Amino acid sequence: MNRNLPIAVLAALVVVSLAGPLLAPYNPLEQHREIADAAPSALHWLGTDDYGRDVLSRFLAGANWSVLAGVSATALTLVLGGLAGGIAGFNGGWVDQVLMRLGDLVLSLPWLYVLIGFRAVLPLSMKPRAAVAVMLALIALVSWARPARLVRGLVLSLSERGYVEAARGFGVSGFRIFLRHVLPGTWGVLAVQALVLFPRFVLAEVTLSFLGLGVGEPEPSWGGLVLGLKQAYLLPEQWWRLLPVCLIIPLYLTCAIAVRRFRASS
Amino acid sequence: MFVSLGYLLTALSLVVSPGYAERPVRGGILHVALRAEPKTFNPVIAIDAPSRDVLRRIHADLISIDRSTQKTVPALAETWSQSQDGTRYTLKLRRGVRFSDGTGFTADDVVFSWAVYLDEKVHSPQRDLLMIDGQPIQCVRKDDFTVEFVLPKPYAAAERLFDSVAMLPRHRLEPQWKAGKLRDAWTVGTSPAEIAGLGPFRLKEYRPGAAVVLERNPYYWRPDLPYLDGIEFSLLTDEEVQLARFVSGDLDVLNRLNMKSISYLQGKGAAVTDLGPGLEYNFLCFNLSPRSSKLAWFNSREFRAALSAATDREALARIVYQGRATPLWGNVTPGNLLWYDGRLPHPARSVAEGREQLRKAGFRWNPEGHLADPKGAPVEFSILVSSSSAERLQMATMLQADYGELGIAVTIAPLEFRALLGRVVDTQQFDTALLALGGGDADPNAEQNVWLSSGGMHLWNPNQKQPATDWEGEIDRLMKAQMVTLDAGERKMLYDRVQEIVAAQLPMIFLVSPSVVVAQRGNVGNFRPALLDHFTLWNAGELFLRRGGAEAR
Repeated sequence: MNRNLPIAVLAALVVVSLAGPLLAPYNPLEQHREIADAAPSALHWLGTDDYGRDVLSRFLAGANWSVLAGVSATALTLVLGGLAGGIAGFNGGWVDQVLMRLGDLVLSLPWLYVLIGFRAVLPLSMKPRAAVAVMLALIALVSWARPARLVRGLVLSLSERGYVEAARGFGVSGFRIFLRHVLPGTWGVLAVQALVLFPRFVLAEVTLSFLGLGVGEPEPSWGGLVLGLKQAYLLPEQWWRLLPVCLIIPLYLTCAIAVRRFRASS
Repeated sequence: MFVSLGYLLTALSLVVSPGYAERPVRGGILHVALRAEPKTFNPVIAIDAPSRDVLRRIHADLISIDRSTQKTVPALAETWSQSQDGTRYTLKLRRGVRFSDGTGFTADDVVFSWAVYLDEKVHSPQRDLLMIDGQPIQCVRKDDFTVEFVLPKPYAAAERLFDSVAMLPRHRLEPQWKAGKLRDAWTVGTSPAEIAGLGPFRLKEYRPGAAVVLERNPYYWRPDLPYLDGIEFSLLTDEEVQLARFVSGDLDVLNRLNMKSISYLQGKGAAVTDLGPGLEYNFLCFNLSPRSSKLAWFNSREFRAALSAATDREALARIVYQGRATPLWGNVTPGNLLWYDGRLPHPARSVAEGREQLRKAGFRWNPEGHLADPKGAPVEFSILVSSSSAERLQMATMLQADYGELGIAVTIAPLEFRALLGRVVDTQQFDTALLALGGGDADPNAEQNVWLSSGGMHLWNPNQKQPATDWEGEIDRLMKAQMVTLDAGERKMLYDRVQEIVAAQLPMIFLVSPSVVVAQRGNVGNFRPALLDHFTLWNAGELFLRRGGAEAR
């Protein structure tokens, strides 16, 4: 198998998700109640949902939101984690102590309860996607500690390399050393973290939907599509409810394969 | 052939004969689901269904409504008589009755209970039911076991008002009442040993987030009852989880079913009973209180009528309840045969009519098709809905689409049931709320606190000092008049007029009334589900677990 295939698949997924709303054959919000819960057909490839909305259209439009939300939350986490870990590892001393204890505190938070409590105080009239964006940002805010630890460890080791010592000897400023000689050494770890975190954040939206905290109706999202599986007793008669899940699984598989390849090659 | 037929007829007569009864078995814990945490264990202030589901098994009333016949039956009052002018009821209490803590029950407890329910400072939701024309029904102690109720005026269906008015232990609650702290008594944090009642069960344990456990009341006044050792209410907010737990044998009874699950449950061998149209009505309630931030829109009758016209009730019944529901245009359901007003108009859905109503009220549409009010502000509001009710969430999604056709942006706000109730009843912090009422009793007097403008459950604008609108004033007059009218036909006429006003003014948009469908695993004896709430546990004292079922767990 081509070594770059997983990355290519992921890139294709991001592209499809960006173009999702344009590719959707129907308006994903439009209800056709006379064909509610319809089986897959030539007109509706993945069938229709409880309200007669085209599931394929909702899957494609939902990809746009779910993937972009996942990418954004991943980026936010890595920026925060990378900065915190880098600063802690490079500076050491009390800065390191403070940042790492803060990380310990964040790691010990029962984030699910924090989220539920936080959702309860959000304004009722908040738009569904805005509410979930806030929630995902909150998840990202409490997820920086793990990548920060990894980056800190790496930065500690990089800081003692000969070329860093040499740069110090030549009187190069600490900030410049960090930016030019230490930070680039963390890209690999951050890339692997991105591949680990991205599907997790997409899954977080699915989890939030299961808890009733996800993207509210009528906006499509992958979490909303998976929600149909709560009525598992309908599956023997309405097997097509599984189809959106079958399409989401490759995302996780691809990320997992990419992470393994990346680790093997580095 | 003749002999076989005779044998068959004998066997059949054994099955259908009223004299035939399965011999009850004592023991076992009945497992049922509770869809939300109870808010309180205080029967005086409980308004949420989960609290009441539990409390009805712990407490007893003087006269009960038999849920299967819908007729009154003696409870703590063994007999009663009525004066000729209909203003005095004399109730003879059962002797030897004891509370679940062993203390005797006497007329003093009745007088105390009555005083508590009528105390304005306590704000009991039952208070409105015990007032006639603004005057309280007086309770007078005649002797240790006789009480007299003096009515300001003759009261229609007076016996029914005693149903669900739990008798309280004076020895336990009087100090708190005198200190003005009765609302703080018997909270969910109270030790079970401090709570005493006269029902078939008593509180054994409350595990927040997990279960409410009741045990047999050893002092229960009905001989040999209850048969069960106890009832465990498992807190299962999600209907799908309830279903899974039922199928796996963790629950014995399901009081409400998702209609989509019926064929699945039947396939699993569950005994599913469809009792037909019930008394529960689902509705979208507007916040018409002064605290409403959208009052300018909601106060417009045309605005409310526009939303009603755009509501696809038929689709709600077909899709959400799989056809096992009846579309509604008024507050009384077709299941309530005595009080349903079939003459109320049933206009077909019309978005065009909705738009016309909005135009009349000065609303306009911008070029993108979004509705704007006469001042040009975009029209948008939220629908508050219980996150634990899949059906109501589904209804809200459909209403969102219906009102979207009018150019209105609707946000759905799912909220935990207790938080939702707090916003609607206590703080009025909501725009609209999707709720359900009904099921307690078929008689309109049971809903006095909903329809009287002074009522705590007058959901669109509760606890008004004076009726805020003329039509609410007229409803007040009609409700009070029907309360004291003894002629059944005249009462019906008065209540029909209430239904007409409510249907015309639309403080609530009535949606659908679901059929009552319940299930049990086949291991529960004396199971006699009824149309009145609680559908399955109303006769909890008489229920028993068959040996096979109890052992199967």
